[in-house]
Amino acid sequence: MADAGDPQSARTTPSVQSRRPRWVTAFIVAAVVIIALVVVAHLTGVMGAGMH
Amino acid sequence: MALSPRARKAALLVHVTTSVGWLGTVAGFLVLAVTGATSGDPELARACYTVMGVVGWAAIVPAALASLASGVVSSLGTPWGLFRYYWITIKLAITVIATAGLLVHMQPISHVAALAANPAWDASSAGGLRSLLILQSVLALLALVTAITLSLYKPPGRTHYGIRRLAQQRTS
Repeated sequence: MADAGDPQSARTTPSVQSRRPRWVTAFIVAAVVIIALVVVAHLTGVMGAGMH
Repeated sequence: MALSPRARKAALLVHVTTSVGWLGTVAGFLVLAVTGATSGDPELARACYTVMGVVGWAAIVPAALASLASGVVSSLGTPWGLFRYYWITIKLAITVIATAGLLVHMQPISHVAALAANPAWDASSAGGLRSLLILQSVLALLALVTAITLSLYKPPGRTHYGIRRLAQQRTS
């Protein structure tokens, strides 16, 4: 998961903050949307029909 | 559990190699899935689905498990940790979900490969499974590219746990 090197000297150091970064929120929203679309595709039979 | 610099490099080498290998094999899998679903040649489609079963079990699953294991070792053996930074935590979640999804979806992959191995196989018998295999491959590629992007850019942001650990280190 991590890369080699010292994280203290990486770009992550200045970000000691209590608020969740905006990119994390955007990522979570995008992930939820994609998962919802996949679930809808499965439920409507668009994908996966014929598996059983 | 701090790794020595040499062990850290070795773990990183395994992690990068298996992660890139995972991405490459999934890209190949997508090519096979699209070819199998769109080819007008039944023998070519049969060959694609048969190979997909082999590639899934012999290449993609081992690469995924090795990538996950080496990533966890790399994180725990360095000051990065697993849950101190958002990008590492999210990358771990992506890898765990992608690996679990892969293991679950090896069932339809094996099912189509078994159908294709039958001499009486008809491409239409695979039905919606053909589009499912394409969707799986595209989602896997999206997840893996996202994970690699996180590794390269390391977007800033410590988790609450990471902030607490940092405060503890500064006070001790």
